[in-house]
Amino acid sequence: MKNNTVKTPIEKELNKNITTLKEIFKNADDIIYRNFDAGQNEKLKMAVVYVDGMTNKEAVSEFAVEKLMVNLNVEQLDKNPEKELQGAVAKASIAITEIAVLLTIEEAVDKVLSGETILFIDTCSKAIMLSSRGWPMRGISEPASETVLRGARDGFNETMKVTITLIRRRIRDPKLKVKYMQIGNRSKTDVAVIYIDDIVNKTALEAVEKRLNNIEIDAVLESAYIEELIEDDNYSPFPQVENTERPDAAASALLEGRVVIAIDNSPSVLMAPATFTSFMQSSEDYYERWLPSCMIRIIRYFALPITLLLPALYVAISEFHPNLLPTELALFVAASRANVPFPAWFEAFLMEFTIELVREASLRITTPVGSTIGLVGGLVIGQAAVTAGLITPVAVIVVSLTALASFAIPSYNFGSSLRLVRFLFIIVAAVMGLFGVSIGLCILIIHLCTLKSFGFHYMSPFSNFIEFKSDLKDTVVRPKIQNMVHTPQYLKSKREKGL
Amino acid sequence: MFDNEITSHQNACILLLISFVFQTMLMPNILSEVDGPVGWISIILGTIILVLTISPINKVMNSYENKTIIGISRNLFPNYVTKIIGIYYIVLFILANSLLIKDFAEQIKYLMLFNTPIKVLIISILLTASYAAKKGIQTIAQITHITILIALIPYIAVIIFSTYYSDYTNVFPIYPVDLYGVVNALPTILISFFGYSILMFSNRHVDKSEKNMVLNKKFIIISMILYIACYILIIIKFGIKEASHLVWPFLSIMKFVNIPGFFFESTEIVGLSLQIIITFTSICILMYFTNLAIQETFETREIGYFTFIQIPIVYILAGLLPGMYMLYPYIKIPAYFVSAANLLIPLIIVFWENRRRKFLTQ
Repeated sequence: MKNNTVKTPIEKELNKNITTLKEIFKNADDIIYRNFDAGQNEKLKMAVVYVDGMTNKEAVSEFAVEKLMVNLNVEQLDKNPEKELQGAVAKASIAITEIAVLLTIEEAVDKVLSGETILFIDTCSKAIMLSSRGWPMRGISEPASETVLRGARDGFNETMKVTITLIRRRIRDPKLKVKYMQIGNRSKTDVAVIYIDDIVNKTALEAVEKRLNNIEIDAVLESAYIEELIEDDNYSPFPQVENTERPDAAASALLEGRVVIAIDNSPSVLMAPATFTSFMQSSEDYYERWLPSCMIRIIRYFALPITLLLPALYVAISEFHPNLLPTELALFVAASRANVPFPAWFEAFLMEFTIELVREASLRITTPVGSTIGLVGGLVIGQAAVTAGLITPVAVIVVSLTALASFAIPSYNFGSSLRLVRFLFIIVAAVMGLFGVSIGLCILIIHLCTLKSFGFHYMSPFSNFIEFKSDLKDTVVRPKIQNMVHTPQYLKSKREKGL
Repeated sequence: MFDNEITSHQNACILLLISFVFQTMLMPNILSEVDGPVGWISIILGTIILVLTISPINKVMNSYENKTIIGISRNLFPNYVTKIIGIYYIVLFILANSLLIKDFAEQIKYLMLFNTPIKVLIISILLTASYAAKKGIQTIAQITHITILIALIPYIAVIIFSTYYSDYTNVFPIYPVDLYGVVNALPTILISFFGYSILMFSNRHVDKSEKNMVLNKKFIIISMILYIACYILIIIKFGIKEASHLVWPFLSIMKFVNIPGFFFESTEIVGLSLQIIITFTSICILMYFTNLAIQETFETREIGYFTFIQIPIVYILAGLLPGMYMLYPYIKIPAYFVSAANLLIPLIIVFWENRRRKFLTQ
């Protein structure tokens, strides 16, 4: 973030600096100020400042404060504090590996709030930052929303450094670059832009950096904030940035030439650019044998039109085109609909609404009970509604099949978008039958074709399948690993072959 | 690639799709024009004529980078001639679009929405197409690609399943060839390769214009193969006598689709649903290129907003014009004029440009 305010330099007098900090951190009781006299014989006044709970206190006391109090020989230090003091102190007595020199109070405040410890030395107009971040954090566990049968079980947690570590463990390449920045005027959230220098698409990288730098927001509490602020079209129901909690998925995105954005306090990283096909892929596709994976991919692509169109087709056929069905089925549908007081569109809406309600309710209830509630709720409500003559058994089948198909979409936020669009399709089907569905489909295609993710066409490679024919290999089916083009052609990267 | 650029393959797909739609629309005319199952000879003749003209046209177009036929004519002719050429293309595109929309709306009314007023269908098609036309050439090109994948290929695949119980002897006798009919059908065939008129504008958008010549020829040849295949399919299914009385041969053929295990009873509605997407994309293409023709003719900066001018014009025309099946007896003379103009305008430009070059070198 750009901050044009005038910076306050660190004073030579220790007390003045501490007073200034106390003024800034007024009523913040978790800020600890520890004054002490350093040195064996001749004493030098010093103070450390840190936030309680965000700092590894043991490290600070053992490797900094204790060393300074016991080991520091003040007489041997250069007496010219302006030049050498902070350097000499750091060199002689601090055993913490990562240290930095700070010149202003604002820098010190930022670092303190990031969990670092700041050492102020009397008679010295520079402070020393002692890297001491340490706070209670969740352990590395399997992401609940992206479980796999085969594959790594580790997932990102809320600490950005862990995120970066997990990625680095998978790509031990010096070309893997990590650029830090802070976003949020108040939250000052750490954000890391991660990419592989010789693979990344420079246009995408520039776009990501530019958009991140242009963010003006008070606080970033989750990666979703950043996602919404950097995507190309906010009004689209479809996500244009992919997110994952899996390090292997993030590593794979990096190897494809995409950019990964890690955000502190969020277990999800963002991956850009994202296309329609990337939302239809799952990490597990690459961990199973290629032929079964192909079948799973094909099933998933069949699930897509089912989740999007099936209720709409039910409405269109039963209301407008019953002649499409075989006579026996048409008669059965007509007979079952005879006692139902609602039109088909209302029936579909009612059932879809109920499904959404059950889904939302099961999310809010604790996990073991949630799934039971979902199952029982769906069964009981469905059965009761059929018995009461409110809906037809065909509608229950249609909606259940739709719900099942929606679970086959690997990306949760992409699936949510499809759910929203499904309701629109029911409306157009209710108004204009199959013609409405076809027109709706045309509008959807137009919309998807206008969408871009960081300048790249959302529908690539389908929207230019002749030019990008090599990318088609990893879309509806999954190629053999040795035939896989690692960097998609649409990303126009320098490197062609991957593994 | 810039926002107003497409690849040469995307260009070829646009031309192919729009030609396919016009070929299906004008098929009854060819079926009734040629006596006997030899309409394919007219199609081959038409293809030869078009392929022969592609090379000189492309040579001239490549020498004027980023210029449409109107832009090139502005360099060669006085302004009023350019305006006449521009207005010709605008009228051609608007009329073609109106006829296409009307024909399409009538099919929908006939098969899908019996009680919905046709004007409601027309306006809903127009409003949806205008959304795409306003978005620009890249969107149009992408939609075309996706339409080919999700609609055109399945549509053709479904049609193949209508060949059950076909009488393949219907393609005979070839002799004696109805030469008069073959020649008479030529103008309609030349028009039905509608991509030929569109390429005068679309070639300008292609990022690597040197590929245009090959791909324009490829488009005409693939289009011809599709055209002949569809023609023969209709002939073997219905025989020339019955086929010449069909209003919408493709819808009729859909009734005979017999996919093993396919449970839908009324397969023509399934076919029509696919056809909606194909025709709709063609309407988007036509709307966009009408916008481009207006922009080029009147040298304006804006292009997207012409869509709003087009909507009422096309709506009124589509409302006023009778259905295509009623127009077949009357389109003979207009077909002569349009096919001649479509061929001659680019050829005159080629001739004039070559003359100018010769003059300059002397």
